[in-house]
Parts: sequence; structure tokens; C-alpha cells
Amino acid sequence: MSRLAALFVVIVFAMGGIVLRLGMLQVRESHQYRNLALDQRERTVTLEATRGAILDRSREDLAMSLQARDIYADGRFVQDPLAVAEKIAPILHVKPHTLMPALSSPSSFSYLARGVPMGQADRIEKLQLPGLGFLDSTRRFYPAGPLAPQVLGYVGTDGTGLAGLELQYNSILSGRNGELSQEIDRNGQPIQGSVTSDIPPVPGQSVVTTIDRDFQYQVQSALQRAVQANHAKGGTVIVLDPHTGQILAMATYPWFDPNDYQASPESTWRNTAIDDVFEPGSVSKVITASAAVEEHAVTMNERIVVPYSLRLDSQYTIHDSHFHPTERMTPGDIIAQSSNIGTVKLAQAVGEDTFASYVSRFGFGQPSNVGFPGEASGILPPLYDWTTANMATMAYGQGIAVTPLQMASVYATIANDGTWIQPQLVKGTIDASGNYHPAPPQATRSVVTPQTARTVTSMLAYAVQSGTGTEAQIPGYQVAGKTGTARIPLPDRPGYYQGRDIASFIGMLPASNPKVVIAAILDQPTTVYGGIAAAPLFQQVARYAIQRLGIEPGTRLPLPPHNMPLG
Amino acid sequence: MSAPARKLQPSPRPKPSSKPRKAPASGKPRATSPKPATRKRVRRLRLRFVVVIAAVVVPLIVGLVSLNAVLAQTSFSVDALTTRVNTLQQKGEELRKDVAVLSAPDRVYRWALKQHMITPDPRDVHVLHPPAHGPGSTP
Repeated sequence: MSRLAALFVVIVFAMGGIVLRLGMLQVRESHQYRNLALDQRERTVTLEATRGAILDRSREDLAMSLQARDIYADGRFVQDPLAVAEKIAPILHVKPHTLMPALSSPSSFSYLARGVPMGQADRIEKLQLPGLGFLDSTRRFYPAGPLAPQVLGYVGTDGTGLAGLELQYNSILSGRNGELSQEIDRNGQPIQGSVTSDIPPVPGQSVVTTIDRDFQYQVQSALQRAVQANHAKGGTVIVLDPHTGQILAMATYPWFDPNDYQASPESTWRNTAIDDVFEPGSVSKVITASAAVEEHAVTMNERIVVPYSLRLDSQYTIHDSHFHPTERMTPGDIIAQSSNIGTVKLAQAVGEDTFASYVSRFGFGQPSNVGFPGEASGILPPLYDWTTANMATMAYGQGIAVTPLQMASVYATIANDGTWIQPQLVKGTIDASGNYHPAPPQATRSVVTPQTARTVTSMLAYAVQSGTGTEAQIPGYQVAGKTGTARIPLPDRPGYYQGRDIASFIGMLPASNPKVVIAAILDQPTTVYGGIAAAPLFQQVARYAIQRLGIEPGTRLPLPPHNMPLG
Repeated sequence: MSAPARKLQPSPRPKPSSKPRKAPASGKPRATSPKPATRKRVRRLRLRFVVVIAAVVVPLIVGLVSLNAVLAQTSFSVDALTTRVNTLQQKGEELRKDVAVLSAPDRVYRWALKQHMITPDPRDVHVLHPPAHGPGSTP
């Protein structure tokens, strides 16, 4: 009897142990084992969201995503790497030896090529070569090649934006990846109807830019010709609608093809129109003139004594670019002749603090917030660091640094009746359902009165008619603009390079009601001067703008009082 | 029409006796053969049971199999349609790409040059702006 009881106790304990273990397996650790089981029979694949397109203002494709395939090699199954390389290299348009490392690798996964167009991938798949595998992916394609490449930017091999608008709007363009979980059989093949989870990808939104594709092409062609004709190192052109702040074209030469950006030097990838600064030189005299007119520091009839040179702080001597005897000039003459000394006298009449406030209100020393990665703020010394000499050089655009876009915005402010409007590069977005979402309205601020803006425009019109900007004239149209020839500062110490200049011309047309503002800048042209190197480029672009935008001549603005004879 | 179910008559039980029975010599229990009427009833009942079960189970099995077949069929159709959608999407993308490439300004320019067209010098182009509703024009 006691043996039976003992046996019973043993059995009860054994059964209890089993029940306990079962409880642990089924209850406490059930989640872990369920996951292990799922891992064995379920496969989850990421469904890549299609990247949104970048469109021009007429919704023409500037950048688009196409289906593609990534090809990888499983080195364990590649029998003859050289033979495989020789078969697929011509299809991939590469040399066979470039494929050998991946094909000879003992690894089970080495990329052979990524983002291969579907046609090429299909041809390789049809060869049924053992050891090659294929993965669905997408590739970015820029159908117009090197068209506004620095604006659009480019993407990396994983489809992430690395520069330009591709980077700035990456989160909007890339969308959200989906996920598909499906049970698989023992051969790894999906079982029909066994989808356990299906989260569809959300395609990225398309970005609608303010760029006009055809006009951009014309601008780039004109820029390339100008750079080559003037043997310049490079150049930048910006075309703005002054009333909306929209950038119609933005070109930087030399450029690159974003379809194969690595084939071009890294220096060509930068959008110098927004990311780089330069000392603007005489084109910024328009700020000094605006301040003087707005503050009534001078009258338009006033004859100001302008010598060839001027001594400042008993230390520095500044002078005009060309020798002239002491003259009496009106403010109109000063701008038209681009006199440094005359401009300094205007700034002195305005006063240091007031002049500083205008420089700031026109947008110098702060980013325009156009919505572009790496936008430079420019260099504007703090007011407490200003000396008489500082202010004098800043009055004619040396000793400060701005981006070409900031400088173009100053002219757009004058063209827009004295109201600064934030430049715009993206008009809106289009979601996956095709709904258009306009960009939020841009910031604006009043800088000078419409009356002042009109007066300054007439001074600029006079500069084109009889001053340094005659090369920018267009028969039948009244063009208003200003030349600039700025020296390039040394990078490591105070002073400037000898014989290296930036030539620029920024202007608008028609002067009475400007429809377009064009900034043409050439880097170190052999022709040196803005009036000779950059004004013809401005004129060429302006002619394209007249055709493209249907700009009418409008009425003519009366010219300001002047001493010089009309050209 | 089937006959109403009737309760089976219980077979008469042997009365318990106070004396123990002797086991039969062969050691096997003695089989009692049911009466022919009872056997007939049992057979009819079995038949009804089989018919009822068949009537319930067979449609269930057939339904289940059909449902699975339909599901599989649908899943194949969905797969085929998905493939077709993907193919058409791919084709649409390719066509969109072709349009974008063919209308690219640089390609149009080069094509025009091949057709012996000449780019006019912008200085030679004069843009006319006739008044929209000038004198003599029809509204």
C-alpha cells in the first residue's frame, strides 16, 4: 500500500512538472515561440514607396522615379565568375572586370548592380545564370539631363535625396514604405492566399517647382555661351518674377548630369546661386541710392561734388574705377556712371545707422528662406564693427558678401514697388490622389515706398540708357539695371586678388512695370567688366524672357535729372 | 416518408440467482442471436443514420472544398490582376518617361538642328504685341 502511495506521489509530481512546463511554454514563453514559428514560415518584404516626381511650373517632369531591379550575386552558386561577367557586362554597359569582385566573393549576397533599368534586368534574367538574384527597386531619372541640376540635386543609390530639392523635400518625395507578410512553403515560395499582413506603400508627393523648363534651357544655353565667349571660370543666372518672388530659372555653369553626378567634379554640384557668397560690388549701389532717396538725404536735382579719390580715416584712400577730374554729379549720374566716390557721399548723407538698417531690410546678412539646403546668409559685419572706411566700401558693395539670390531679391524689391518678397522655388505639392496643395504664402516686408522704388528704377533705366549698362539695351524696351565689377577677396588674409573680378549685371524690364528681374553673374571673365561681360548675357536672357513670357514694352519712365548727355 | 422512431424493446434480463453459474465448457460467452425483426429495424436505423450523416457532412465537405477552390481561384486571379496592374503601371511609367525624354528641350533643339532648322539670333526676333481689342478688331 505504501509503495502504491509513493508511486502515486511520484506520478503526481511528474504530471505536475509536465503541466508546469506546458504552462511555461504555452503561456509565459508562448509569444517567443510563436514568433520563432512565424519566422520559419512567414516572409516579410518591404514594399518600396514610389518617390514623387519633381515638376516644372507647367508640370513637366524634371525628375521621376522608374521601376528598376537590383542584381546581386550569391557567390556560393556562381560556377564560372569570368564567364558570367563576360555575359552580363555588355548588357550592364560595364567592363567585365568590375563585376569580378562580387561574382568571386564567397558571400551569399553581393550587389552586382543597383537600379538597373527593367529592360536590361529582364535580359540578364533570361540568361538564367546560377547564382544571380534580382530585387525590385526604383531608380531616379532626370529626363532632361543637365537641366537645372544644382537646383534639383540628386539621390544616392538607396534613393535618398542627397542635394538640392531632392534633399530639401526628401521626406515629402519619399513617401512611406509598405510591408507584405506572407507564408512560404519549404522551398521558400509564397503560398497563394496566405498573406497575413499587407500594408500598402504610400507613394511620395510630387513637388511642383517655379522653374520653367524651356526657359531654363534657354538661360543655360545663353550662360554657357557667355562663359565660353568671355573665358570665364563659371557663371550664374537667376530669373525672378518680382511680383510673386517665383524663380523662373536658376542656372549655374559649369553643371553636371544628375543621372550620373559622380562623373562630374564635386565643385559642379553646388548651387552657387544660393549656397555661395560673393562681394557684389557696384550692383549693390542700388541699396545706397534707395536709402538716400527714401530718407531724402539728397534731392534728385542736387549736384554732388565727386572727386576721383577720397581719403577716409586719414588712413585709407578709395577711388573710382576710372580716372576723372572732380565733377558735379546728380544722384542719377552717380548710379549711371557707377561712381564709388559719389556713392560713398550718398551713404554719408544717409548716416551709418540708417544705412545699416537699409542693408538689413533689403535682406543682407540673413537667409532668404527660399527653401534650399545649405543656403548661405551672407557676410555682413555687425554694426558695432563698422568704421568710416567699412561703411564707405559697403556703400559700393565691397566688404560685404551676399548670395546671388539675395542680390537679385534687392532688385526684385525695387521692381515690386519697394516690397521685399521671399523668393520661391517650390509652388506646391501634388499628393498621390492628384490633389494640388499650394505652398504657404511667402513672407513680405515693405522696404521703401513705391515712389522711392520708381525713382530708383528711373536711375537704373538711365544707367542702361547712358551709363555703364548700355550693352543691356533692347530696342523697343526700356531696361533698368546696374553693372557690377567686384574684386575677389583673398581667403586667408585681408586684401583682394589682383586681376580677378566678378562681373555682374542685374536688371529688370520693362522699367515702367517690371515683369522680370534677371541677375547675370560671370566669375573671372577675361573681359573683366560687368558692362562688357555680363550685360550682354543679361540682354540675351531678357530677349528670351520677352519671347517666352510675352512681355510687352510698356510705357517709358521719365529719366532722372542728369548732367551727362543721353546715349 | 420515414416511419416515426420507436423505442426499442429492452431484451429481457436474466433474473439474478443466488447460485453462481457454471461457466460453459468452451469458455466462450454464449451469443444470443437477435430476432429477424429487430435486425431489420437496426439495419433501417443504420441506413437512416448514414443517410442523415451523408446529407449533413457531404454538402459540408463539398462546400468547404468548393470554398477553398474558389478562394484559391480568386487568389490566382488577384495575383494575375496584380501582375497585370504592375505591368501596365510599368508600361505607363515607361511611356511617361519617353514623353519626358522626347519633349526635353535639349533633344528638341538637337532634333531641330538635324532637320536643318536654324536658331534665330534673339536680336533678330521681334515680338509683336497687337492690341487685343484695338480699332477694327473683332471682339
